[in-house]
Amino acid sequence: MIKKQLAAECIGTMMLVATVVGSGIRAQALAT
Amino acid sequence: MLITVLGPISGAHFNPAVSIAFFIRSQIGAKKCLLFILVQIAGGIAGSMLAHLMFELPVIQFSEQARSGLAQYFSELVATAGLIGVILGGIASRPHAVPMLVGLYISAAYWFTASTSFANPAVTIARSLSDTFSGISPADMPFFILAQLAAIYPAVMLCRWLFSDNDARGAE
Repeated sequence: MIKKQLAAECIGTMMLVATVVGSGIRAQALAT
Repeated sequence: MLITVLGPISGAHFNPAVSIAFFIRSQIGAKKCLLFILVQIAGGIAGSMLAHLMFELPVIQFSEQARSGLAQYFSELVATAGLIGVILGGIASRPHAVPMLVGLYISAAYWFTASTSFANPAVTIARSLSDTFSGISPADMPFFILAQLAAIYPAVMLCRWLFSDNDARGAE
């Protein structure tokens, strides 16, 4: 169970950061 | 969305500040808290690399985005305390609404804080590895993290007192 929990935390944080950084890159591209 | 989907598995912390808050509340043990923090940091770094790959940018970068000053650090303290307050308050009153509450709070805090509300040490570390609009220079990163960590204990204690008479059954 702990392995699944760790995987969920890892995947969730990865997607969270990918969303934030990806959105920033998109915003930067639209602004220039 | 992520909280709804992955919450039933791990509780969907995705944030060392949240894991530490639950540790202070004795809802998770020290070992589990530490493991969560480690995988959150690893996942965050992977997320930064993933975004760079999707936009054909160098995978490994170091941010040059300056985010310094007391106003920024104080913003992080407020943002992190607010996030913990929303989560613990939501759990005490409307547990099923927590995913929506967190999403709404994050959106609001982006605008009402000077720092754009990182409120997450793992995300702060990951964003120091992205020299893009959302990055933070490695020199400023430790101050953001210190401010975020400083917010946890007071927020947990305030919520413990504030919501001590509430539980989900009473409020539903």
